[in-house]
Amino acid sequence: MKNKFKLSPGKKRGIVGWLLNAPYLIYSLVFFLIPLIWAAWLSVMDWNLMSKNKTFVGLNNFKALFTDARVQAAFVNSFKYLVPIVILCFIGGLIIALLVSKLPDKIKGIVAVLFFIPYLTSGVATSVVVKYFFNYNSVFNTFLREHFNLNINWLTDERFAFWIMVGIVVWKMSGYYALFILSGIESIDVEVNEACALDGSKGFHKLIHVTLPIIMPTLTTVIVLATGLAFGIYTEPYLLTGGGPNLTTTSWQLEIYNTSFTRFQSGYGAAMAIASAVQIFITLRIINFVTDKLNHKFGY
Amino acid sequence: MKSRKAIALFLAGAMAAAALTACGGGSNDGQTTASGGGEETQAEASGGTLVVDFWTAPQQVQYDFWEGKAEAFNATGTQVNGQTVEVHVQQMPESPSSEAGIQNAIATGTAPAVSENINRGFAATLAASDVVYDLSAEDWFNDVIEARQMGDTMESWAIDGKQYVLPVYVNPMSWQWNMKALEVFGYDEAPTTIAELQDIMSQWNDKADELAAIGVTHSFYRPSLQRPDQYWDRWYDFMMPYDAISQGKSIVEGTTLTMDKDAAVKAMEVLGLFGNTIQQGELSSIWIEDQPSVLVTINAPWEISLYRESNKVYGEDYVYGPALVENEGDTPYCFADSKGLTFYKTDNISEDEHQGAVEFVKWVYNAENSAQTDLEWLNATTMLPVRGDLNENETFASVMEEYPELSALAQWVPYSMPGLATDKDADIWTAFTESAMSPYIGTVTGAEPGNAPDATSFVEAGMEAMKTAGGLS
Repeated sequence: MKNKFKLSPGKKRGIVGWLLNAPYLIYSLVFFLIPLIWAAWLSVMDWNLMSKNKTFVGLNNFKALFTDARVQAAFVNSFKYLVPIVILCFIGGLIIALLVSKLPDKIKGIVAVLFFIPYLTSGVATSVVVKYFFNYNSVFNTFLREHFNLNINWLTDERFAFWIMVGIVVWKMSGYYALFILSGIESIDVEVNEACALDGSKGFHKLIHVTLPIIMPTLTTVIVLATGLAFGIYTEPYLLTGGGPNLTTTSWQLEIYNTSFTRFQSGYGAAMAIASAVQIFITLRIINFVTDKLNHKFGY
Repeated sequence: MKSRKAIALFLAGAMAAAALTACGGGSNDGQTTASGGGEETQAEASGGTLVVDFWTAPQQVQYDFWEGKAEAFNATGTQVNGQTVEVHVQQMPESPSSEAGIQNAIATGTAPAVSENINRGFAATLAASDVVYDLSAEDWFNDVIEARQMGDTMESWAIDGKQYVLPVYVNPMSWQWNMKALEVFGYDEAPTTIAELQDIMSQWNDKADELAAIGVTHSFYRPSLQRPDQYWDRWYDFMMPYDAISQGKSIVEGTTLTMDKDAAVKAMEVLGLFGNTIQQGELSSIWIEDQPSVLVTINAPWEISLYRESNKVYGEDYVYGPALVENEGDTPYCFADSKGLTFYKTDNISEDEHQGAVEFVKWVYNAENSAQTDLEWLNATTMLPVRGDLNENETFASVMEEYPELSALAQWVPYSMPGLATDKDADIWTAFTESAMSPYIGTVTGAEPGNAPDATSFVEAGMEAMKTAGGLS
């Protein structure tokens, strides 16, 4: 008797494909989609997550974003962080990768790991060290006062606080991105290097005209990751400046946290989170557009 | 081929199951209580044990204290509706603050029956959300108030005429003076009036060399005066002098800003007297330095043990002084850094569990045990228990004799006033810092010590900002 439930090979493959993807799909559903829907619902409510009373406020939370100085500061600061962090992480990672790539194979791995260590260091530990370093009575500040008559409150001075945040992030992440770039450099065919040598291309010329174009996809990854990083800054301003002075170091994450869990305006906090997500999405699309053009130009 | 498919299917299923398991609640280790309305409690299921969850502050010392109390109470075999109460103690999660941890617990139906570490401001938020019990009409609560002689204190804890917190400890915020620096100015004890501070700061420039010789470079250490994000520091550096100058006048009542403007101006000008000698740079371990570099800070009694370990002698190296008053003889009202116990009223907590929690707290603080409990607390934490007889009750005599610094602080306990009873506390003080404190201190840092700039316009701007931020009239 012919089995009427017999599936065609194509359908079988489809089912197996779905089953194999099921864990990720379920994971995404539970940890991304459901929270996203819930956040969207929360963003139109006036609710502190505790009260039995939840008030529907429509789009009022979103309207309020436009007149909120903290939101405006977070929006602007995201881009202020983005530019130096992406550029400096890129340059720092590239320099580290180029230096490490010239080392003998025996120590190359160890040195690469050494540059990677800051990435593994917790943001809290780093922030505590930085705080002590910039203390009024730290060795550094005492030296500046005694030898240069400079008395600077680094973390409460608008001129310096922002750049200290940037410096911490760049120090922490450059070694991590260097690993990506290093793997790209290492994957360049020996023949390419030999051809460069024969053609007399070396040093900076080779870097610009050969190395960077070849590892363009890797650089794209680094740029996109650094962009995401710039939008996710939280620990450093939370522990060192609280977003000050005058909101110069605040970030979306910090404002969302303070709104939701310090001022207990969780509905408004959810609206802020959605606004930040929109900003991140649009920014990433623009960056993808630019990097796609570059990749296309270099044949990828 | 079939076996490979089977393995693939098995792995997919296992991963899905693992993912779903991870999403579930915490593992049921047999210790948890009921969750969700109407569920049968483990107490009932296990036939006679009523598990009551108690959350302590995140600090280990407080956990150890309450764990000891719970063990002793559990040994009494106290029963509620035929079930033996068993108190389980755990530290409240700081995710990342303890308040956010409680918010999360309430939102997810995992709140404990009772917790400590609740201040008046957060209690107001919880009360506005209707998730905590009003204790004011409870006989046992009033018995505890009487046993600990807390009557005067409790008036300032009321929220809309109701009591939601049983205060456990209080740190009366006061000034912590560098004794050696005070001696340079001719003072052998802490100043008590604004006039005395004026006198000291007017001499500052003349005494600069003598102060430098003992390592003092600045007058007042306060790095957060211009930081709105550290709004809670206004409880200490603004409310403390305000409470004393206003003689205990409230700042917010219900939805009305009741702050006494004249007193607020004078409180700001107390800080203004420090002029350009305020230290706003971060210092670490200031009072355990060989030569503390400032004249005065706001006290931190939780560091008393550290000072002692560093051989700092109270009365020789440092001394506590009351909140400065306008006229000699005025009551030195001050801000109370104070927290206490709150009973949660959420769906996951059964009536029996609530009663079990009440039985535990009653036992800890009843007339028979309260003094011993408070003594143990004091020894463990060096933070003063909230009671009106600390300097009179014989139980505490030996501790007060051994710790004159605690005895000094204890005298201000009855005049200590907790924070605002509003769920907009953070917004109000953030706004005040942005509009009043921060710009005023910006002006002060350009002024000579002893010449406080006029704070009137700053306070007026601050009050308007407070109204807007707090939705106050």
